[in-house]
Amino acid sequence: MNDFSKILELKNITKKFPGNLALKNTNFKAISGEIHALLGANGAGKSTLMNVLGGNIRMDDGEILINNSEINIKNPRDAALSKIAFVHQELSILPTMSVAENIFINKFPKRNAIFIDKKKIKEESKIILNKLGCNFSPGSTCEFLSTGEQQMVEIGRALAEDPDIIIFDEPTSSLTNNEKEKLFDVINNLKKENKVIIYISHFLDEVFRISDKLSIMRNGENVLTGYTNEFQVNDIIKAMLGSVKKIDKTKKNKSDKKVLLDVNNLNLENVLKNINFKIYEGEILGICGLLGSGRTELFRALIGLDKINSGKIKLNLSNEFFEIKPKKLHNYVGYVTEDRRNEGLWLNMSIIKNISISFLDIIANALGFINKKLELSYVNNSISNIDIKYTNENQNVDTLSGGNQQKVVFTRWIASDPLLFFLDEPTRGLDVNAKIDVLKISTEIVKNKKSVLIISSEYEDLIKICDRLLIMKRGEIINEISEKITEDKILMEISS
Amino acid sequence: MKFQKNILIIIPTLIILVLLIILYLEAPNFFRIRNLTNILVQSSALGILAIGMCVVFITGGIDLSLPSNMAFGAIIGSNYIVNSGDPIIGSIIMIICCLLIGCLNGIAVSYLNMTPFVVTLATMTMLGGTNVWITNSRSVSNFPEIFFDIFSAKIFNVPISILIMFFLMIFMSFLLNSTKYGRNLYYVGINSKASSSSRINVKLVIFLSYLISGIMAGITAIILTARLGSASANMGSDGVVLDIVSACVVGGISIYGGIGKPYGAILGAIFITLISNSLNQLGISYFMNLIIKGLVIIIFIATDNFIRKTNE
Repeated sequence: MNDFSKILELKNITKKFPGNLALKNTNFKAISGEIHALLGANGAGKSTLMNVLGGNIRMDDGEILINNSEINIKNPRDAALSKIAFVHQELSILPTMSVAENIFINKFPKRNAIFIDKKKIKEESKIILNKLGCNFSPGSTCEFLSTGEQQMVEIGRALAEDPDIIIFDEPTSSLTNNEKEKLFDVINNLKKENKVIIYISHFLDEVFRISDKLSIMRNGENVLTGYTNEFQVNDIIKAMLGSVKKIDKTKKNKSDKKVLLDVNNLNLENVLKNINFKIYEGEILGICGLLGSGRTELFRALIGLDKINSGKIKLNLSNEFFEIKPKKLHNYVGYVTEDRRNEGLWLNMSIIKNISISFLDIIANALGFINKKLELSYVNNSISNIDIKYTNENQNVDTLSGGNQQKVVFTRWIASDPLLFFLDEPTRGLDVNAKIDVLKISTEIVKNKKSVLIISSEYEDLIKICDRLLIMKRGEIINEISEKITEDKILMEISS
Repeated sequence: MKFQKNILIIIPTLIILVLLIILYLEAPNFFRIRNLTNILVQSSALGILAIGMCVVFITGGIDLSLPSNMAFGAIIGSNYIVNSGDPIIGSIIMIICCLLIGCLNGIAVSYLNMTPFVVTLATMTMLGGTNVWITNSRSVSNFPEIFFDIFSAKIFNVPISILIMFFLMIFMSFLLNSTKYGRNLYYVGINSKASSSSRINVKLVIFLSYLISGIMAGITAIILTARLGSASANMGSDGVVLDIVSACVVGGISIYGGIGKPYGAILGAIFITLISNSLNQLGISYFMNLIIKGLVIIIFIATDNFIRKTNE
């Protein structure tokens, strides 16, 4: 289709976010007819770089060149005009619209310059779907398609504008093996059509299988570029981590060997598969995995916020094991949610009310009347153990900083004296000091034979505080790291 | 911040003051004690219904079936009273009928996940039809004297319906402010996701809010039947819903959930009744009256939105 070779060059791209330099004079070069993998640990800057190319983020400095002529990308529209297409990791399908409408959403062909040419979008969608090896009809409604099929629609949307450069951001994270194979065929076909293909992935096996070249980013810089077959897995992980820094454990004492919670064969259709693990008293157990690996879903399933299909949970209550239903287990768990503002706090309510919710039963009498004096003293008492900066207990929590808001959430659950804490990305979006505080609190709460189950994408944090780590992938626990947790071990487990 | 919160109270107060001054100059009859008491009596039915709506609003829902539910209870209970001559059992029947309808609304909204607006619109329509069908469009009257002796009585010269309204206001304020259930209403209304991850039984809280609104409809059924001396399908005309929603909105109860107090509902109800009554006194037509009420709602929702935006 397009016989002309294209060379894409990003030169000296710099992007500053408040508080950190995301890209430092980054250079990147890809040519048509090659699949170029882009690798890097979390926060290395690969997504930022590709979002600059896709027009979602404006760079502060640098040049983007196609065949040596500079192009100007200010927004996704500009990127599309320069024939750059971006297949995002998270699906942006409009569920109630048809496949054809979803494919042409960016640019509907018009009839008489006014009406959408429905016949044309159906016919052209059919051609695109054939190319992708899909056998569903362009008229079907997207919400009835599987995730893999929706991903194909998403790719179809990218192809509809006949791009020369296609960026795939973690395209396989929600696909089954069959769908993955199909996707690789599609990508190989695009390669034969002489497109520039950039492939972001955490999975090294995929990278070795499909890519011709690879670039590795670290701390906003492109540290290594070369032909994929010249590298070993170890080289790549080393390049991703740089000089391995020593991370000191914040947690000192070891946990007991007394099991607190025993989870057996937990299943949730399409989400969790045969989850088995134990937590010991006084233990901090980390859960590691990529987006879509089922980490948050595991938390929600364990405490009955999502219904499980099968599985047994046993809890050790004063030295006796009881089988317990997830809804009941919720009563023994303090759950710090991932999305603090939308799922963890009542922003326009006072600090008192945000904390006392967890122990209303204790301060209310038989008729449900709340003793407000008791409430205030309980709240003050629990805040005194945690350093929250506030002026007045009646202040709304939305006036607090992110770190202090997170401390309010912790205070709430500590005050309710649960057996277990579930922490989902507790340090996300916090500044360095607040992060340290939160990690310190997390190690202190296990002192009284409580246990902590923590999800984090910041491996450094996990290494600092966890006794053991569970690695999750596609809804399964695939491995456990119990001794000498290091960043390269984690990366190795997750990527392979 | 403080000022923004208070603006919802300040605006109605200002409007009332202006209205009172005009009335003082143009229609001095308005200020007779009898007319003032009359306004409170008229507000009482609206006020109690508005308290019910207030509770549902706080959870983020709406109960459009309140007036038709009230009329339904009134008609069934009145039929019993007329046939048996027992006003006490009859009144209890009124409350139970309304409670059952509230229960249906609650199950549909919370346990069957249906949209409150649509569910209660459907209940409203069905009950409206049922009411006309049962009564053949005639009103049920000829109550025994004892019924009026009880519910039209005056204590220290204050009509009992006013006392019931203020009693309910105080009782519900206690419930909402100082009990666990009351807290839960606000928690659910402001952030239902956070509530369910904090062990609140969100479905139960929402279900109960429709029960409360049903009970309020039942109590209103009794005092309104006693005041009118009859029960009819007309009691729950569609215009009443508009008045209830206006009263709540004027009283600072947010239709988006999480914000509102029972005294706001009562103030709003008095405000709405006052507008109707005073416009009447000034000789302004019923239809103009409707236009003004509609405008008032729009103005208040606009200020509510504005305050939310500036808060963010």
